[in-house]
Amino acid sequence: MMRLNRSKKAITLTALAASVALVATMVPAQASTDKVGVTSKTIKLGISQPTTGPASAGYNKVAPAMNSYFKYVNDNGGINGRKIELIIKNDGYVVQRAVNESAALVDEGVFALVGSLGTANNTAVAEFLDLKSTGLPSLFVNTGFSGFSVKKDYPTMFSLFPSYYMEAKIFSEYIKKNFPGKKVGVIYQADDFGVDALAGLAQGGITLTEKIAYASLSQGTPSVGQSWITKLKTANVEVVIFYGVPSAVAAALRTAAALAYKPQWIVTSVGSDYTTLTGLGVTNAMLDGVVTGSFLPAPTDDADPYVKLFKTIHTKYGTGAFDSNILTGMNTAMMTANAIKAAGPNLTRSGLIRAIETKGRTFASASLTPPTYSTTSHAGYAGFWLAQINSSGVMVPESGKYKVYTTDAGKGAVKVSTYKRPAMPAKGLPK
Amino acid sequence: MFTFTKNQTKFASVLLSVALVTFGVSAGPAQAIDNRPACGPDLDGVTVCEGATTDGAKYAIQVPEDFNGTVFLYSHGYQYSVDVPPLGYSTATSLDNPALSPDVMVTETLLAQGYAVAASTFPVLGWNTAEAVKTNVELIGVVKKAFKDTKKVIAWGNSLGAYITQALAEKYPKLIDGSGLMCPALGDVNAVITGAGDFLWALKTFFEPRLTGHAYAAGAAGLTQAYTDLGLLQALGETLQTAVATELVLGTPQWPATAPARTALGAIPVRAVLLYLGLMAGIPTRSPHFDGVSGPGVEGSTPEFGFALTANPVFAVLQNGFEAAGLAILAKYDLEVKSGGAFWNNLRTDYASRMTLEKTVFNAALGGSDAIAGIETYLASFQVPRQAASAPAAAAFAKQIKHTGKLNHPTVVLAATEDAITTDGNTQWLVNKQKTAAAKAKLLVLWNKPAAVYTKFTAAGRPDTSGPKANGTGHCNFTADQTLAVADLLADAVDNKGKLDTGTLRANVLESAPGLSIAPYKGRIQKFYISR
Repeated sequence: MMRLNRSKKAITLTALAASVALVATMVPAQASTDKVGVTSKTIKLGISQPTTGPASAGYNKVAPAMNSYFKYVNDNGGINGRKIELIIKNDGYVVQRAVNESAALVDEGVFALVGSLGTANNTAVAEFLDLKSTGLPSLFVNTGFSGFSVKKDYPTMFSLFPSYYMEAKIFSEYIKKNFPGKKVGVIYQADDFGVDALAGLAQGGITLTEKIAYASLSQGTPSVGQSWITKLKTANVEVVIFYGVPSAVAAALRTAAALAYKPQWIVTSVGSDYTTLTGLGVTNAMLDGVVTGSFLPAPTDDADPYVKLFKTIHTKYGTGAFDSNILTGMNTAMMTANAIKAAGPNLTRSGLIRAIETKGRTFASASLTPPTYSTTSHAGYAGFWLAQINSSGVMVPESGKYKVYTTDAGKGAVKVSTYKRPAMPAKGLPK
Repeated sequence: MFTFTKNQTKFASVLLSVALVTFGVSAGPAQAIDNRPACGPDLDGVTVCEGATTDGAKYAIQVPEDFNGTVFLYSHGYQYSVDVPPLGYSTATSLDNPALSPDVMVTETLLAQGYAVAASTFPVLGWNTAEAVKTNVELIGVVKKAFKDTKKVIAWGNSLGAYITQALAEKYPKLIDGSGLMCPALGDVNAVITGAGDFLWALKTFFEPRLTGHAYAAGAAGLTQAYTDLGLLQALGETLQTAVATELVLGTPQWPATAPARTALGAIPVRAVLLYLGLMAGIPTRSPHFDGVSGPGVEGSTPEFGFALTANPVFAVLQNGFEAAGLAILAKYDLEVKSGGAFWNNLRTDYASRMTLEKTVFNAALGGSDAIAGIETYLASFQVPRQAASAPAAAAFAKQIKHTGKLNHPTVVLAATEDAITTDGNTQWLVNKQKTAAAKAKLLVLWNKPAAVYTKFTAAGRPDTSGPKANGTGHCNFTADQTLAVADLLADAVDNKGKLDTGTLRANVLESAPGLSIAPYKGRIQKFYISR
C-alpha cells in the first residue's frame, strides 16, 4: 500500500525543523483568501454561463465578448500591470451545473466570479458556495433579479442590469399610455426571474387577464409553446408581456405566427436580441412591432462611441455578428476593469467590493442610465429606453431618440431620466 | 423503449446495504464476570486478545510489539436489531465478531505503525448509544489495565459509532484524547432519522399504502410487518424506476394504478412528485451512480439535456431515497421496540416550508411552478394522513442520549457530502456548534466530495450503474487511505497537546488520500433542524 510515512514523531520533528516560511508557503491558510487569484502579473476571473443547450442561444456570446474586451485591455498594458485571465465554464443554464462549474472555478483559484448568468443559477451559487461567508465577489451578474441588489442578502454580489421589477414598472406605464383598455397577459419563467417581473407589473397597476408560468427550459418541448398561445388566444389577450430567455420568446413568436395570433408583444430586454431570435427561426415579420427595452445603446447605433469601440474590439478579437449580447458582454467587462482599477494596485476581494460601493457610481460605461452603487445598495443601472423592432430588425427608439425612463425598486414613480452619460475615457480603458 | 441496465434494478441489494442492524438479542443481564482479556501468543508481532465486558459484550484488543502508547478504540455503525435472512444477516454473528476498524487494511496499517486497536460488539444491537458508551468506558479500563504503557486513547467510529464516540467524548472527556467521527450521525436520534422517516412516510402516502412504516405491532407480528415492508419497498422501487424511465420515453405520467395520489396528481409526472418528496425529506440529489447533472450523448443535445435536467436527479433520489427508506423501516421498528411504541410523528411538519431554494434549483425537474403548487396543495390536504406518536413512547424515546456538540478534544470528521443516511447536515450541525476560535480549532472536517460529473452511460445511452460507487456518495463509502487520514491527524494531535496540525502533515495526509477536501463547505442542514 502506498502511504505516507506516518511515523508521527518523525513528521512532527521534520515539521519543526523545517523553516516556518516554507510551511507557510506550502499550505495556504484558509483565512487569507482575500488575494486568491491575484499575482503581480495576473488576475484570474471566472464566469459560468450556457454555451450549449436550449438556453444558450445568444447568451453564449456574452463571455467571449467579455474575453475580447479583456484581451484589448491586456494588449494595452493590463490594469496596474496585471493581465486579466477569464476562465469560461459551460453550465447549460442548468442550475446544479452552474453550482458545480462555479465550484470548479473556485477550485481553480479565481479572484472573483464575473457576469455569471441566470437568476436561479446565481441564487443557487450564492447559497451553495456560501458567497456571504467566503467573501468571494460575484460581480455584475447577468440577470435583472432585484434581490441581488440587496447587500445584506448578497454582500459580495453586484447587479448590473436594471431590475426586472423596474423594467416591468416601465412597461406598465407604456401599456397604460399606449394600450388603454386592452386585455393584457404575461408569459414568465417560473422562478425569481418571472416573479420579480410580476411584482413590477403589479406595482405598475397592470391587470393581467392571463398569467402563464413555464418551467425554465421546458420551452424546448413543442407542445409547451402551443399551450401558451392557445390559452392567450382563448382569453382574447391583446397585449402579451414576455419574461423569458430568447429560446422561449422564439418558441412563442413562432407558434403565434403559425396559429395566426397577432397580439402586441412586449419582451424583456434579456429576451429580445434580434440576431439571437432570428437565429432561432424567428422572421423579421414576426418581430416587426415587438416592443422591448434596453439600458445600452442599440447595437446598430454606430454613432455611439462605445458601440463604435466595442465593434472595433470585436472585429479584432471576436467572431460572428455584433449584437446586443456582445455589447452587453463588453460593457460588463468594462465595468469589471473599472472596478479592478478603482480597487488599486494592492488588489484584494474586500478592496474590490469596497471600490464598487464607493466609486461605482462614477464608472464609465456604455449605459444610458447611471450605476447606482453605494455602501448600502448593490443595485446597478436604474432605467431603460423603450424601442420597437422594425421590419428590418432594428430597434427604433420610442420617440425617435433615446428617451430613458428611470424608477426605483419600490413604489416610486416612473420618470424620464435627466442623466447625461459622461464622455468615454481615452481608448475606452479604465482610468 | 428506455430501460436500465440489469444491474441497476438491484434495488434490494442497494437499499439495505447500509450499515447492518439486528434486534432484541441482548446478552442478558450483567453478571459478575471476569472482564480481563485472554491473550494468545503473538501473531506476526501482534498480541491478540479477546474477552467480554461485564455487560456481556465481546471485545478484541490487538497490540503490536512496538506499541507506541496510543490505542484506537473503534465503535461500529448501526447493526440491525433483527436477523434479516434475505441479506444473510444474523444478529448472532454480529454479536460474536467485534470489528476493530472500518476496514481490515486500516487495522493492519495502524498495527504496523505501532498503534493498538480495540473494539467491542456492544451488548445489544440497533440504536444502542447508552449501552455502547458504558461498554466503551469499561473497555478503556480493560485496555489500560492490561497494557500499562497505554498513554493515549483515540475513540473513533462510523455512523452510529460516531454518535457513540461523540457521546463518550462529551460525557467522559478525561477518558479519551481525541475523536474520529466518520460518516457521523450527530445531534440527536430524532434528527438523524427524520429524513429517512419522512421519505418512507411519503412513499407510503403517495405511492404504496400497504407499507406499514410506523406503529408496528407488538411481538412477532410487528417483525412480520417490518419484513413485509422491506419486500414492498423493493417492489415499489422497481415500479417507480420503470415509471420514471417510461415517462422519459412517452412523455406522459406513468402512475402506478394503486397509488393513493394518482387521482389528485395524475397529470403530474411521477418523476416530478418523487423528486419533490426526496427534496422535502433532504435526500441528496447525487447518488452513487447519478451525478444529478449529466445525460447521454453529445453535450447540449436534446437527449443529453433532457436526461440531465429532468431525470438524473430523480434517479439519484430513487437510489438514495430507497436506501434511506430501507434503513428507516428497520431503525423505526428497532426504536419503537426500545421506546415501547410509536415515537415518531409528523403531525405538525410543514413540508412545503422546507422547499425554498429547491424549487428554484429543480424547477424544471419538478415540472414547474404549477406542478409544485399541485403537489403542495395535495400534501396539505386531508387526503394525506399524518403519523402520530404515542405519548409514553415519545417520552421514552426522548430519553435517548443527545449531543451538546461541545468538543473537549481534537476531533476529526470524515463526511461525504452526498451521504443519504447520515447527511452532511449532521456534520454541519457540529460545525455550527463551534462558536469560538478555540472551539473551531479543535475541529477539522475532511469533506469527501464527488466529482461534478460521473454518471456512466452505455453505448445505447442508458445509465450504467454496474461500476463502483462514486467518491463522496453512499454511506461510509471511504477508501482505507481516507479513513487512515483521520487516524494520522488524530495521532499527531494527541502527541502535540491536542493541537490539530495545519501544516505539512495535513498537506501530506490530504495528498495521500485523494478525494478529500478541507475547503470551506456549507453542509445542508437537515430538514429536521430547519423545521423545528
